[in-house]
Amino acid sequence: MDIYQTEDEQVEALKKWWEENGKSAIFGVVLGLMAIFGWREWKDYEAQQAASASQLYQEMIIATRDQKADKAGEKAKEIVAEYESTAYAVFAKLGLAKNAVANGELDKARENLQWALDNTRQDSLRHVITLRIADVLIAQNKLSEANTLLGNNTNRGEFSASYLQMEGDVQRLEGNVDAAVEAYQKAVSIAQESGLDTSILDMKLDDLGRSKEL
Amino acid sequence: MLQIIREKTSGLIAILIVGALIVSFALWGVGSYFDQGGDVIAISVNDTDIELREYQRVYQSVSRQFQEFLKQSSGSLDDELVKKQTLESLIERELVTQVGDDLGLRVSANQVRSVINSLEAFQGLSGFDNSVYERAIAQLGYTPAMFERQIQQDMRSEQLQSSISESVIVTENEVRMIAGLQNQTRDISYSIISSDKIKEELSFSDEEIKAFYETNSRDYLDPEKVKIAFLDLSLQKIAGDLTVSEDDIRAFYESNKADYDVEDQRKVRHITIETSEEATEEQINIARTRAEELIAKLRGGMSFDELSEKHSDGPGPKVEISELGFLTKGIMDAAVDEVMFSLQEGEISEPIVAEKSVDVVMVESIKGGAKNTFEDTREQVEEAYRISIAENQFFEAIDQLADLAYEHPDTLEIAAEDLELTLNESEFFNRNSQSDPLLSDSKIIAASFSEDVLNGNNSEVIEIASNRVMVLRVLERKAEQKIPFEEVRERIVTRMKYEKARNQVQTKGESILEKLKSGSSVDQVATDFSIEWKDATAIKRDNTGVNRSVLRTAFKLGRPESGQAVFGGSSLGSGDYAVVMVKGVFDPDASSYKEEELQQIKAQLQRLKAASSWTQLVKDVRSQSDINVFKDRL
Repeated sequence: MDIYQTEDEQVEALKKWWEENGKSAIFGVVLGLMAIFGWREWKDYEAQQAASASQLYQEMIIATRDQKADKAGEKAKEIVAEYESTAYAVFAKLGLAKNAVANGELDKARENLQWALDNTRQDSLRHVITLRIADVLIAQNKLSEANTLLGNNTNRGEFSASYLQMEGDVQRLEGNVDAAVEAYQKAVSIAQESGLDTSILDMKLDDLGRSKEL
Repeated sequence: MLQIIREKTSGLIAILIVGALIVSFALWGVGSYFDQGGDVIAISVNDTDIELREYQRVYQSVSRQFQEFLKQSSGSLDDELVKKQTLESLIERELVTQVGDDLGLRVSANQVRSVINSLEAFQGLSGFDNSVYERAIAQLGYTPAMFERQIQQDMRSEQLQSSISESVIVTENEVRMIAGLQNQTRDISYSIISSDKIKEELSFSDEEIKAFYETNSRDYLDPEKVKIAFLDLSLQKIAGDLTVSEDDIRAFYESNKADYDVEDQRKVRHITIETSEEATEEQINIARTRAEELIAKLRGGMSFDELSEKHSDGPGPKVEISELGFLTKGIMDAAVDEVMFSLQEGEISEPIVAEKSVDVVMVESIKGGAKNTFEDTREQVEEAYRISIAENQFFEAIDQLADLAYEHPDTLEIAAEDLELTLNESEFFNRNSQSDPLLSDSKIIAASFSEDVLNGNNSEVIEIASNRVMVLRVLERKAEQKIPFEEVRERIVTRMKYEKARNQVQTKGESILEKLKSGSSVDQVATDFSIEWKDATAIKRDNTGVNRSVLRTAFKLGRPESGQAVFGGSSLGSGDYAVVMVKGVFDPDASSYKEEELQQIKAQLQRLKAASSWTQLVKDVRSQSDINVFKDRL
């Protein structure tokens, strides 16, 4: 730090600095302020969008729980139409996919799920959605497509048990008992480690006659 | 830092740095720059710290839940387990909150407010009551701001959770596949090779039995036991033993009168003449005129009952005459409310123009307000008075008890004498004792078997319930010891017979299976091994006529291929061994499923899938997070 002899010298130094840098400092402040207010306004806008979507989403869930699928569907469509860029739109699409499956409209279900997959950046949620797409593909009997989709997801995080179970399902439906058993058995051991319920897997393995402990 | 900036600032750099500083203060506030430190951190999850205070709050509530659970199942509270559960739930809660942040989930103050207003726990006499609310959350250690933030977080987490659980896809195929498995039937034959005869014939020498006793001595131990002496001090007891005079009770009433007042309540008869929110002046006037007619009749001496019989029908707007119970303020329309609480008993109002009607009320009777007398509430007053006097004595007695028990660590008699308490003595009991509710209390057990107390000292003051404390000491102690050989000889012989017989029949069963698998006929095997086959046809998984282990084995065996039966076996709990043969597997006709059954399966699959997705999601998020637990602070 520079040591200033007197107050005058200090004032002098300050003046000098101001002459050299004053304009750019003011410019900096102005730029900063613009950034803040622009940013704040944007954040406020985002927050307000999210809050409105949230309210609609809450209504959609209540309708779903009351078994009012039509009403839930309306709310979901409203969310997607008005607040497309929020996560609630992704949630709404998941709900629409469920409704579509219930109505037997599997193609529509897939479209909704695909949209949800493309529009969420949350990796764990992406796994959940991917697995649901595989569910629909299997229901459409598009087994090799399902297999490709599952196989392409090599980075499975903590979702291995579900991926393996679905791979087992595909193999079983294709008639490859050994491959199905292998996948199911791996799924069971991972599921047990993670404390997941294995009753459905056990039943499937039992039926193939390949439960581990007999 | 500012010094360095000043020295280096020039030109463009100055712009950028000053700009960046302003932006950062604007976004995160100056506050976070200064109020770091101070609070003790228990856990950090990514960039968020969870304070020790929050940890303790959750610890309390987890521990309460555990105690509630243990009351039903009996067992003692495991502190490590409570800690672990507390950590797990705090970490999960924080992780889910962070995912909610990433996704930009948002719950507005209004949404929070409407949830709080609807919660049962915060309702007063007439709907949501702010003072009830504030009192209730204060007990949990929250301020309204903290509590509302917590609710907001919870609602966001719930949104994330429901986004997964309420949209689970269960396809028709899956449901039908499970229905197929559940309704599948099998034709089986099985033979149970009994171990009874072998058990009967087996005998063991004393040496063998003794050797078994020695090698398995851990199974034949009598656990450590203690017998304790204890002093039991409770507020209720002190309050009950006090002598109180009538004057004191009355004086107490006078100074706490407000507590015994009941809210002003009025019982009313009510006439409503329907208009509507958009009623015109004219419509309202018609209703008002009608009301005036009715009022005139009432004032002329007609009773409400008569009036409702004769005049509720007729031309003009709809008239409804009703008798209402006791009402507090805030229930009726605001305009009606105001009039209702200004009338005297028996008085009839003028027409009241309310939001959607024109009303008339008559107050039949008034209760509460200043009308509660000493006599009405004497019993409550006396109890409250006793408690208020006893409270001081109780807390003084606790202090004294703590001092005396500490100063004379080798006896409780002095404390008993000074405080005029009975010195109780227990039976012998162990850590898992369930003989007596007091002796199976986890705190009593923990204290009785603590090192200090086992070494002959008095325990600390233990709070076993609110306003009830105990101090205890061990009178006698029996260490864990082997149960004498003679006492368990019988049990050992039974167990040896069981184990040996089970192994023998299992060996026999396995050789039968080998023969069958290598092609021997069923009859041949039956003769060779002198066993009998039993048939069970068209059985389902939930059949109750066939032994459970046999059934489980039968459904694990897969399907016969090209007419070849499949074989398997299993040991039964009795020590017997079952040889099982599956001869046929029959898948049900898909049209035979009942709709109800399919719905049930669907709901079940939905639940399982939702739970599995959620568990994996949380684990997945967790595996990508940086979590630190400061164990030594917990």
